[in-house]
Amino acid sequence: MVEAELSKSEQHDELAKEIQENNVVVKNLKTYFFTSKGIVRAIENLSLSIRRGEVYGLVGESGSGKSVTATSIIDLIPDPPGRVLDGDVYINGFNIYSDLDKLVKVKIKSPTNVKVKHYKTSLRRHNKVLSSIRGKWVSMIFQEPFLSMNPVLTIGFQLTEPILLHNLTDLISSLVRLETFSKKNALKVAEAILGEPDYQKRSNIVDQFILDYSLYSVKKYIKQTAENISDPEQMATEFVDIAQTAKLGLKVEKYARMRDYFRLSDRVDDLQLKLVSIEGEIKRIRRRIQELSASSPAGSDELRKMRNYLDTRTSQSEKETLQIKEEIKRAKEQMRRVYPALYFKRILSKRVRDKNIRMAAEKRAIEFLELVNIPAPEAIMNSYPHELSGGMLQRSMIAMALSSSPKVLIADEPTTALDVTTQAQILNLINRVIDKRRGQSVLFITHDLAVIAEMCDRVGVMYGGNLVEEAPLEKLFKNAKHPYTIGLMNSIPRHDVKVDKAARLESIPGSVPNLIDPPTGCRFHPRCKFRMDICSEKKPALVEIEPEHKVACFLYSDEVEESVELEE
Amino acid sequence: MDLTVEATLESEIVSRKHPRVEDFISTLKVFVKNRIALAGLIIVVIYAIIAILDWVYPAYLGIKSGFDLSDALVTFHMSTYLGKPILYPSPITGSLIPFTIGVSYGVPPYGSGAIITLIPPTLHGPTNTPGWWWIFGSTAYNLPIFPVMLASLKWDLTYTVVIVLIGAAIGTIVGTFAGFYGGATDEAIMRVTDIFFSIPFLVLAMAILYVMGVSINNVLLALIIIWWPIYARLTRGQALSVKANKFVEAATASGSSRIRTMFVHILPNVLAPVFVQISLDLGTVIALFATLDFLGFHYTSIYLPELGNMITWGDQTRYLFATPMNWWPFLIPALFLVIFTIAVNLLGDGLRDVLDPKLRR
Repeated sequence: MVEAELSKSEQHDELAKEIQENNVVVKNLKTYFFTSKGIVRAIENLSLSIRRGEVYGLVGESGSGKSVTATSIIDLIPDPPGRVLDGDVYINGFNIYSDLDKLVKVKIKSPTNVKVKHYKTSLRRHNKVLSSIRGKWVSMIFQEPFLSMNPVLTIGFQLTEPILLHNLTDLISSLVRLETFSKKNALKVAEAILGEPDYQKRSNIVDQFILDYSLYSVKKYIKQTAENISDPEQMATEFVDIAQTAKLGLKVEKYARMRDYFRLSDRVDDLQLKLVSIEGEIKRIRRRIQELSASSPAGSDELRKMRNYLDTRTSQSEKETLQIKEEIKRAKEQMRRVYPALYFKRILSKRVRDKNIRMAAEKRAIEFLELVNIPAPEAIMNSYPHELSGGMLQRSMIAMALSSSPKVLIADEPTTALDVTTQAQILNLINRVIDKRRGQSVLFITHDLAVIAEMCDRVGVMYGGNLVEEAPLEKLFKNAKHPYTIGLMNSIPRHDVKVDKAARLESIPGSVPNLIDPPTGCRFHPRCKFRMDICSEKKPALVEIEPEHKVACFLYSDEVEESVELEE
Repeated sequence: MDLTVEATLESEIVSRKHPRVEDFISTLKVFVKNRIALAGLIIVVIYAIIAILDWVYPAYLGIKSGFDLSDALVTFHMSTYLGKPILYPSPITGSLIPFTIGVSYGVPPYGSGAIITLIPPTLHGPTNTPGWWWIFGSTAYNLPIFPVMLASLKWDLTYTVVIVLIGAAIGTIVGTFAGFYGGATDEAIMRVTDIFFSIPFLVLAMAILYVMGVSINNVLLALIIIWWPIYARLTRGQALSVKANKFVEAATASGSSRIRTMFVHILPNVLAPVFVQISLDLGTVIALFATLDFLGFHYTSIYLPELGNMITWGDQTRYLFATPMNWWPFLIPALFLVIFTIAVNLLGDGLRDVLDPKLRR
């Protein structure tokens, strides 16, 4: 008994460690589409993880389930007809599908007669929870920039949207920082400016100062002051004057209360996520027990273990839940005390109408536009999507995705719709803009191996809804193992290898299988050069053959040798 | 230092032109290029100015405020009984004006024998009244058509605009909701609109009025009930096609909640055809409004100055007042109505071009 608990907790610890180390962990993901022609098994038991500060590439032919994987990670699968049926996706430690089993009931009478029943209230709650995660922790860049921008709203509006939705606390506290601006700080800044002989560096310090204390509207005066005055004491006095004037304009006290309010509201959001994940965990254990007891009514060993685990976990979680609920209640009370008007207003609508906050958000958006090399960002802010070129739009799309500083950026073929020169620019831009040191990571989806070679640290190769090979970039290109990966590599035209002019470029024969009725066993076997008997019977598991190099193929598996021996 | 900084703070805010202002200017430029639509706009604006003036300062139009034709009728009756010259209060000043035209005897209101000769369109009416009153002649009770027609625009336009705007608001929100949420909600709402579409508008309006009783509030209610399904169906289709766009997915991916997506991202994309439909419907509803009155559903009283009512009088003068058959009492108010309907349709066509964001710049 003790052993069982130990193994369970060990397992738990291992998972917890993996979740902590990675930005995204996908476990046994299963996404189906219930169409009138039958069930499309788009993704079957897919597991992957994206580390902190890493660019993870997903490559494969079209129809291999790359985009479905990406959209499953933030549950953007169009529903109906699609649904994530099973699996866990941990983003920044939170399992977004923790309340999944409540959401859907699938009745299958025949392959073509499938009914999916939704529980509306749970679905609403699920969407509410997810809308606080989407954009904040994960954001997405889409394939066609022209289609993924709203044609009737200005770029500025669309850029400020994620900032105003997710970064209100940051924004307001940057407004409030003026309050803490004292003579001492000013003196420090003034000395730093005067101590720097290099003009460029000096202006950088001034810019940083303006940015830190959000003194955008008096930018000109600060620059003038910094150029004309040589006495730090005098300059500091001027700075304090400027700051105080700006403070008057902003009514800082109001914003300080607002900042406190939004800090509390963020806290409530976090607590609610915790609550959801605790509920989800218990539910999962219950479901597992149900499954086990259905399969073996007599009661197996595992069932007993699970029941025990459930008991201990339930008593724990009850305590936790009560605590969290109490804390939420307290935080809400505090919120009401800190800013009653805002509290009651936000019950009706989440929008905060405030000119200064809006302007601060716009400034921030303009900074991001500058970051992605857009000339004259102020003009771009007021223009509509159809007035910009594809490359410019994709840049502003990237700015939009980054503006709420997410942990993970999902780039779903961001360069496919652009011409080649723009493609290179965009790729360089993504590489430059990602803050790897802060642990920002990218899931990069493409069908182009050249792009993969340019961008990624680690690569997963997908085929027919499965991950067939996963390796660090260099290992994959030097030493591809899976026949499908080898086929993909061979179908790239190369300039460094001399070939007969008569010889044709090699390609993989056949096409991607119809996933309504996928091939048995390994899904690649009908097109595989090296296929064996076992390939059509059994599905190969993703096995680590070298450190960090995983392949799902019987060519590299021990099972084959055993079975071959058996046959002999 | 302080003062200058504050001054620049303000000037920076003021000097920046709001994007919506710029938008509006460029929209106007496109619209002005379409001459026919411009003509429509001018006519509609003239009508609107008359109606608004009538509300705000009727004396400008030469109409007494609170002008109601029942005053005229009472005087008419009294005078016929007493065998004195006919007097009725001037729509301009309220003072009594003597009429020398026509001989009256018998028992009004519908008694036989009251013979009135109507004044044909002329530049000079009876003495001591302004000449422009009579350029369209006179109608029942020998009222001058032109000032009464101007007075009637007030009711017609106001009620039409109220009906169409409320109907459009309800229909747009309901339709967008149905299209965006889909499923059973959509089905239920659309089947309800089907019920409304299966019965002709006028018949349905008459049925509703028959049940609820005729009053101006009930007419408003009846026409709104009839009018929202048009918008619901229109916007539902639009919302369905907008929903399939990638930018809705992008908005969801950036953390916009469902209700926010609906109002911020889908609704503005749905609005363009709604504006066009509103401008087209103004003409239809004003005609329907007049038709109901023409058919005898008199909203407040038979004496309300209203175009439909005026057409009725014009038609019925010959029965009620034993006047010879005249063309102007009913034809001129009818033309007045038709011109508005046509102008509004032309305006609608122009709007359709303007509201396409790609044509704007």
